[in-house]
Amino acid sequence: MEAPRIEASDLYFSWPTGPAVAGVSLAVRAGEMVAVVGPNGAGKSTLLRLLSGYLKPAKGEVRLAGKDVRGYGRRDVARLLSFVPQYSEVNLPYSVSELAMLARYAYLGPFRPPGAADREMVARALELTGVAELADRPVSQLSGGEFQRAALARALAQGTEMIFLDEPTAHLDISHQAQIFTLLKRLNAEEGLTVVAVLHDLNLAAHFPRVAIMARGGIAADGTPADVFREDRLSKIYGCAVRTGTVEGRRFIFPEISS
Amino acid sequence: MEVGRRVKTFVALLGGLAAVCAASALIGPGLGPAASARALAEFFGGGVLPADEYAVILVRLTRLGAAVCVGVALATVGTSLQALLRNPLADPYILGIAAGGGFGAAVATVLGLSGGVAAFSAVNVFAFVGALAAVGAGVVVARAAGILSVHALLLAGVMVGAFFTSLILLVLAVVPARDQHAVFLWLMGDLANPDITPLKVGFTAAVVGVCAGLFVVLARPLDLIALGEESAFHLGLSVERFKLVILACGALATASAVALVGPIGFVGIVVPHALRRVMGPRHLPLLTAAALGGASLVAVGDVLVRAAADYLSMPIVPVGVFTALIGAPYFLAILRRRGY
Repeated sequence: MEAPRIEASDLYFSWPTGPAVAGVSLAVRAGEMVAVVGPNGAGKSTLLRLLSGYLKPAKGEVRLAGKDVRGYGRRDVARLLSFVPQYSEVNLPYSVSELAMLARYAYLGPFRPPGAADREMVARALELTGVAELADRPVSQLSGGEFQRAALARALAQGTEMIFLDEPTAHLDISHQAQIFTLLKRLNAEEGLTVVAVLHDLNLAAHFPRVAIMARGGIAADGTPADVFREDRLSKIYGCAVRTGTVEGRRFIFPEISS
Repeated sequence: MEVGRRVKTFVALLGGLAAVCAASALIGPGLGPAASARALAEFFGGGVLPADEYAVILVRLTRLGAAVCVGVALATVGTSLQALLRNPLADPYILGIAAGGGFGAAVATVLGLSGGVAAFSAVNVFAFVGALAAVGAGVVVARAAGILSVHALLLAGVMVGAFFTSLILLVLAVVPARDQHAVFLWLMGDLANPDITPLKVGFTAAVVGVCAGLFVVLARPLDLIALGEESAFHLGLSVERFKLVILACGALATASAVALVGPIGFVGIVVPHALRRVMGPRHLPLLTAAALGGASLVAVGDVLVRAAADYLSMPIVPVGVFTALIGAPYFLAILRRRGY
């Protein structure tokens, strides 16, 4: 069997306020799509940043393509893995195409001017995410949905085999959510893009073939949505009564709200 | 941002700087414009000038050189720090450099220290050391476990600045009036100081040139860091090392400028903001334009100060007062027009 592209073993990490990730091991193979879910404060975003090398684990190791993620040069990692952060304001008015071109830093470094291949990657990323018409608009003037698509375009322009996303659709309406996840699924199917996404919305996560649910810094369950999203487990982890249903073979999850 | 507009702005800035330099060399007490032009032609043509004319020309060119150096330093450092700290209020002095330098200068002035290092007087040296000490203190406070928090750095810098400002006030409160005046003049940022020699300007130009050159070379990483540290990291930048390089360069260039002429205000905040509107946010065009704009603004201030003294018989005002008098209303007008 092929070796995992991402391999985390027994990760521990604490913030000054307390432990965030405790004893997580996780392996992701090339071409997998993994959703990481769990309650607020369960350690999802921290885990994603440990996997990307942004945070240094107090204990344990993350191996990316067979090598310690923190042992790479920064630009070498950026050629393997791109990262779409939570919606965050960019207060300088870079245009959408300038923003995407910055993703070519991993290849160009500080000095080399962009070539035809770089411009092609950027144009393709803008095309795929549907922001090509916005290429010259300053990102500071975009709507939330447009901005997140521009952020995704930036990550795709990086031309990596893996993409990490932290709540990429947290503030988006359902049509924008659908657009982004449709695109990710397509790139996964057509180009073997490996996707790891931290998600709040369990019903979105149910579209992923694999779901890992975190609770109090550990992974409580890891498997298909049908395996992971069980009423008793979700009720225990979220501390409220959770009901699930299945429509057209897809799991739906909703909390019980007493009246 | 269209390329045409950038090129036009760039040409205008170059022309403006050339005009200001010419005005600076021609205008001032001691020698009328026509006589100055003749003397300058002799000076640069390798001819021999009468001693009094030579002295006037040398003083003017030295002042002009100092103005250009200081303007380039303040404007490029301000631009870079606004990207690094992701704060529109950032300027070269935000980390307490002016106050640290001011305290150093005040101590050297009040103690009447003579001597110094190489071409530099005790006031220069103390100001330089005080300025670097202020930034160093902020970095030490804000850095933990190999990670420098820019939020902590900003807060620490403001506190360090407040602390040194209090120390300056303390010194002023206990010294005689004559020393008070000298310290005050220095704190306003003054190009008329006879203490500014061609050799010092040369040294400062070398330091500022290297630092500003490095900012321009690192323009693309500055574009990345302006997106936020986490984004910059994931796009392939060694964020921690980069922050230290920019801070070290910024501190060195600013401390050199402050040590030479005192803290000239406002250039470092108004020039980046004004030029970002026309040049766009990318740092390669922005930093190049800021260097020209900063040099022009300080030199214009200096020319106006001299012209006012020469033609209107007004008392000589330190140039730092003038840059803020021009800069602040201009900045307010920009704010008003586009609501930022």
